[in-house]
Amino acid sequence: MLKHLAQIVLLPLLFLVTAPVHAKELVVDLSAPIVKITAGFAGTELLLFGAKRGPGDVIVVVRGPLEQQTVHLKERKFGIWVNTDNLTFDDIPSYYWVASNKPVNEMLPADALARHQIGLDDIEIAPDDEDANSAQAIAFSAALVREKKRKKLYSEDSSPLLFLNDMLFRTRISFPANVSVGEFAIETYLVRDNEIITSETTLLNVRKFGLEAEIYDFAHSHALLYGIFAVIIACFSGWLANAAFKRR
Amino acid sequence: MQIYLPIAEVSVNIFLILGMGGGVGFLSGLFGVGGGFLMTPLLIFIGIPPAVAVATEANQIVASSVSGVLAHWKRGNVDLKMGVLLLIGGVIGSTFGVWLFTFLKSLGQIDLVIKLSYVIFLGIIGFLMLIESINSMRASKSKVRKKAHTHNWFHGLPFKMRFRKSRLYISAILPIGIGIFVGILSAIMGVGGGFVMVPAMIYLLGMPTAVVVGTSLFQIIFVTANVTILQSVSNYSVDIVLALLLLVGGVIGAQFGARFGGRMQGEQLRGLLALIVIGVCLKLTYDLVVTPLDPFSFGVGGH
Repeated sequence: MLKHLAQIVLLPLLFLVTAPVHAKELVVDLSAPIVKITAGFAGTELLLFGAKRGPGDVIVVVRGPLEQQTVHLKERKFGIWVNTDNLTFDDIPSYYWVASNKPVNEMLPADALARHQIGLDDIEIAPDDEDANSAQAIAFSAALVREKKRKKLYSEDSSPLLFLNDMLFRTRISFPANVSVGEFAIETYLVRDNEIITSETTLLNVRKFGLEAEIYDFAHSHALLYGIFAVIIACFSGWLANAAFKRR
Repeated sequence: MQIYLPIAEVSVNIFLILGMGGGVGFLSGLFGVGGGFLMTPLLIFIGIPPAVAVATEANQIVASSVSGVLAHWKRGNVDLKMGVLLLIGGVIGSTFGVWLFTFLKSLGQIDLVIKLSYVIFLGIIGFLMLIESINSMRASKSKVRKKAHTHNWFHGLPFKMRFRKSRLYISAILPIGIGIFVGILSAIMGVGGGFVMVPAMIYLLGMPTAVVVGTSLFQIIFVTANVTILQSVSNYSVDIVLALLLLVGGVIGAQFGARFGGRMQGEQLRGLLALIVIGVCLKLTYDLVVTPLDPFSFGVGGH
């Protein structure tokens, strides 16, 4: 935490020194450039902090790696609930999170929000082989967002972003335990007079680490050996338990 | 205390998993069932992806069955000859079962087929066992002696063999046939199949209950070991960390179960198993019938 504090204090100084040269209006950093998924991982929070020059509002959008997702619809048939229909969505963000210092629709006009896909209403969730505007596709994509929210993988509306003074800001990004691994893109927008003045992209790596990563890699690269190993371990523990009980 | 599972890619409470392993392991040792028909739905219920739950459960059943068999072996309750014949059938059946599973998946309704087969098999077997055990409890009270076993059409089948441990002289086709049938079910339902095999051995073959438990565990070891390896190779869905947690609880539970079972009467044991089987069946039926919170859901294969 002390390190973060030092970064927060030092960042504006650095900014002041470098600002005249680069004329950068927005600087952003994270409390950690990487999220490590280890044995004790139960979700995590990252601190995003930054500084801006001049007046304006700030929006932060975090997008996880793209994934394919199938949504099923159940209907009652002969008294039981059966999957009757499904729709597959290609290339939807596995994680989506927004923070801003006030509601995004008060900062930007609707067309700008749609163009930059800011806010859950404006992310592109289109089925791979069907008309995205059909009533059916709309119902399925709404269901997809509902389920993602339930799993805490899509944020509810917009999270708070705090201004410490008219220059510094910070916000917390939370990742649930079931977060996908891969490269996350964090987009920070500086908004002034209904317009995006500038934006900064920060990359975040979510990776498995240590024993967890080794087990995962081994299971995929040496699948047969892994399976045999699993059986041997099981047989051994069965025998061990029996032997332990015999002595009593 | 939370732990992150590397293959399932979810975070779970260690003590919840240990407790589930212990509870199901106890039943496994008590009844000679693998416990998969209880554990697989439980794992899915706490949020483990179904494919991982099915494959990892097979791995855990290997451990609890080894532990159970050793306990029964000491008391001379494993009919090896019968077990090998069941195993031959099991390998044939599970190979065909995997093919059937793939075929049903291509038809698109594997989810429903699995759930319905759970409901149907658990329902029929639980109901039959309950009636039988009530009848035999009544019969033993009124001291009416039953015949050791009745003679049916299948006593006329060829390839007769003597099974000394089971005190039977029956055709080898019968245990192989049961093995095939159970192998198919275990591939489709992702269970060891003890809950089908145990009643089949008792009621069809007329084996003594004490020998049935050890012998069915013997067969289950090899069939589930085969499933574990096949699943690892084809789906990468065996989570060794989850399996280890389950089997730590499971093997200990199975030891207590086997000991406890030795002190109980056959009819009581069967009656209790019948009630558990019917309970799971009713729960699964309820889930099929009750209106879901959201008719939409993310696609997950398996159960």
